[in-house]
Amino acid sequence: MRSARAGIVAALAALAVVSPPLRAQDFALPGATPPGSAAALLEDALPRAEPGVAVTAGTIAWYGVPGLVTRALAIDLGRGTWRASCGVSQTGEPGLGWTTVGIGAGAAGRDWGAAGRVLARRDRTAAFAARVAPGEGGLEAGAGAWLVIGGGCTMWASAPSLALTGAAPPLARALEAGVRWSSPGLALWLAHRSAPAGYGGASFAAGACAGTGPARVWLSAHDAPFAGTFGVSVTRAPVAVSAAVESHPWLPPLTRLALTLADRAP
Amino acid sequence: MPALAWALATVLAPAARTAPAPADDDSLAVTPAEPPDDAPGEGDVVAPRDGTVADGDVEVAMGADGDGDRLVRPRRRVRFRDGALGGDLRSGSADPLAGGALEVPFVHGTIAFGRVSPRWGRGLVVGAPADPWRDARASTVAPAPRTRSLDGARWRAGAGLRAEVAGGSMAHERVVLARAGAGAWDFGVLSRARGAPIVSLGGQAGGGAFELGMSRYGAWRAEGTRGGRVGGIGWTMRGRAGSERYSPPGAAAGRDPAQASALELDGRGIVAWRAMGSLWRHRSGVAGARAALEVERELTQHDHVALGTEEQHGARRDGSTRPPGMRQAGWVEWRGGRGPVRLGLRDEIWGHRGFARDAVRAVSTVRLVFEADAMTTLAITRSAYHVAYGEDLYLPEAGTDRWWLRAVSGDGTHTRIEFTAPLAGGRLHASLTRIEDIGRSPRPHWSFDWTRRSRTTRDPARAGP
Repeated sequence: MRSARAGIVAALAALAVVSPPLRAQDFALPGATPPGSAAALLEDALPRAEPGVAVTAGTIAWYGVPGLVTRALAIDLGRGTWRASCGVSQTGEPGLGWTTVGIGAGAAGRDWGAAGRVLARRDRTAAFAARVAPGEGGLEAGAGAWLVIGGGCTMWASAPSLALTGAAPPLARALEAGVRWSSPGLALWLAHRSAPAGYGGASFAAGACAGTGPARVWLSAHDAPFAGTFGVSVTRAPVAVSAAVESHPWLPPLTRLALTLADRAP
Repeated sequence: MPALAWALATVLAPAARTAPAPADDDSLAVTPAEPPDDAPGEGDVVAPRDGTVADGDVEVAMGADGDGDRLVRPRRRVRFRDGALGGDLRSGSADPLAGGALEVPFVHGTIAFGRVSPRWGRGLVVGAPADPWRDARASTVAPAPRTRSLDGARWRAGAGLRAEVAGGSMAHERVVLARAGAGAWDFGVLSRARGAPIVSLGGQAGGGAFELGMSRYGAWRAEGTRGGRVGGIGWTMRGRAGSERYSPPGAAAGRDPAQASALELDGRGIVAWRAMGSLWRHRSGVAGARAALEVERELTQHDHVALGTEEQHGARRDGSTRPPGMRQAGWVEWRGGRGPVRLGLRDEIWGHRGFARDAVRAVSTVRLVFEADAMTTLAITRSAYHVAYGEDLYLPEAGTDRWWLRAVSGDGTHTRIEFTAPLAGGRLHASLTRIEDIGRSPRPHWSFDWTRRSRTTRDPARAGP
């Protein structure tokens, strides 16, 4: 069991060496602009501004690594200022991957939002049980917040791995902070990401999203090393479909796909 | 004495009205701190954080902290002020700040017993002089060195015509102080067990102040400061001169430069700005310089953004082991709040090449505060840092009565979760910290404090309808 998990971790470590930093994982479904992509409450502890119910299902194919595919399902609930989310994600093949269960809770208003989230991971080689042997599972807790600061700008900060216990997550994440400017039809954003363990290797990311009505197109890029993402989303209430492809200098691209059912348009 | 005061205050407190405690400044929590000059090596530093106690107030506090092992450090504190009667007492077997002073009326003045902190003039003889490389930034934690405080007794009286006599131990050296003053002038003498007496002549007038300290053997130091405004620009100049062998009690060797000068400017227009330049010299070949500029803009009532740059050369201390050479820095800080959420971000990079390239010290901090109500708050502060070999970085943690300055090195993260809530008529502050330096065992730290501030007398000006 440990060797299976070690195999996955080794594969991800190899990816981390030769690829852009994988700073998102179990619920990193495609989104036009941060903050507020699908399942962002579970992934980044950033709640949606809109109340209501949304169910999102998605998949991520990690740089063409055979068998290393993430499948995720997240349910967002919002009533008044309260926000909650729960979800399940599986990465990798049986016997080699892991399963993640997440819950998140927070509050949000028209121009602010804050939340916390907890993820529990367990090897897919182990049957679910109430008691987890040492090294077989782990917990990861984090928090995040966003504020609308006026002029069409939104600031956000996310520290998704504030506390860890048990087995380490496949990919460590430190913190991210950024600003987004948006106007009808156009949004631009810039984010600073510290390295998973400390500031060394910190990087910047930037992106732009264009589109009106049901269709959106976005581009983003980050440094260390440079990589770019192209994404599209189409919404026809109550359904939204999003897809994104992230390039890489040496490896096959990373692809993300998500389908969202919501009782109101985002 | 501390136990008696504690018992007295505990009895008095329940009958009194609770006053709100001052709120923390989010900026202090995200800005790296300057350690006091007597900080031991690379270790953590605990420094007092002293707010004011209004006349008629009694503050009682109890708490404990620990590092995740079995050692728990309990502590208690009581502060009160009632006219000339006042006290500030801390107790705790493992509390590095244990001690305090009690002040009572005595012969036309007051007499204080315990740890008193007299300061004459510019601090050249008694007290601690201001470092020429430090500006007056309120957003930086820069505690004063404790070695310059006096354990003993002090009597002082008068305002226009004044006198002061003190005696005790300063940095393990027996000293006796006497000072007399009239109007803008003060003259004092410090007699010490291990060295020649030092005299002090100080004065202040018209926005300026100066002090001359001289020992019987001719070692001397003088410092003056003056400030004013020209148009919309405020300015402050400081200058210091003297001999290298001047050394008052409690001054660590190589701490205070013999010669220094500094100029601070500030203005306010579309943006508020502050600039500073300083030069200092300990002795031949041991000198330094600093220049800094910070620009701030208040975006709204709650939003604030600041940009800064700084360049440093040379060594701050004589004998410093810090790698020599130039350091250039840049930082950006933003704070804002909406509804119950406050957010603070700061990124600071120091490099030994132009434009802060080849980073030797970098820290990125996020602070998230959720206020359920005026007294119940949850705050999360997370820093990621890189500190090159030989450099130092201190991350501040605010307690109710102290600062913990955490020395970090290498690459790592610092996470702190704080919770405050009303409890039993007072205020509970609990915190949990975890420092993870790569290659080292995680360093946890926890603390809790309960503080209650009460008024023992009815103040009509502060009474409600």
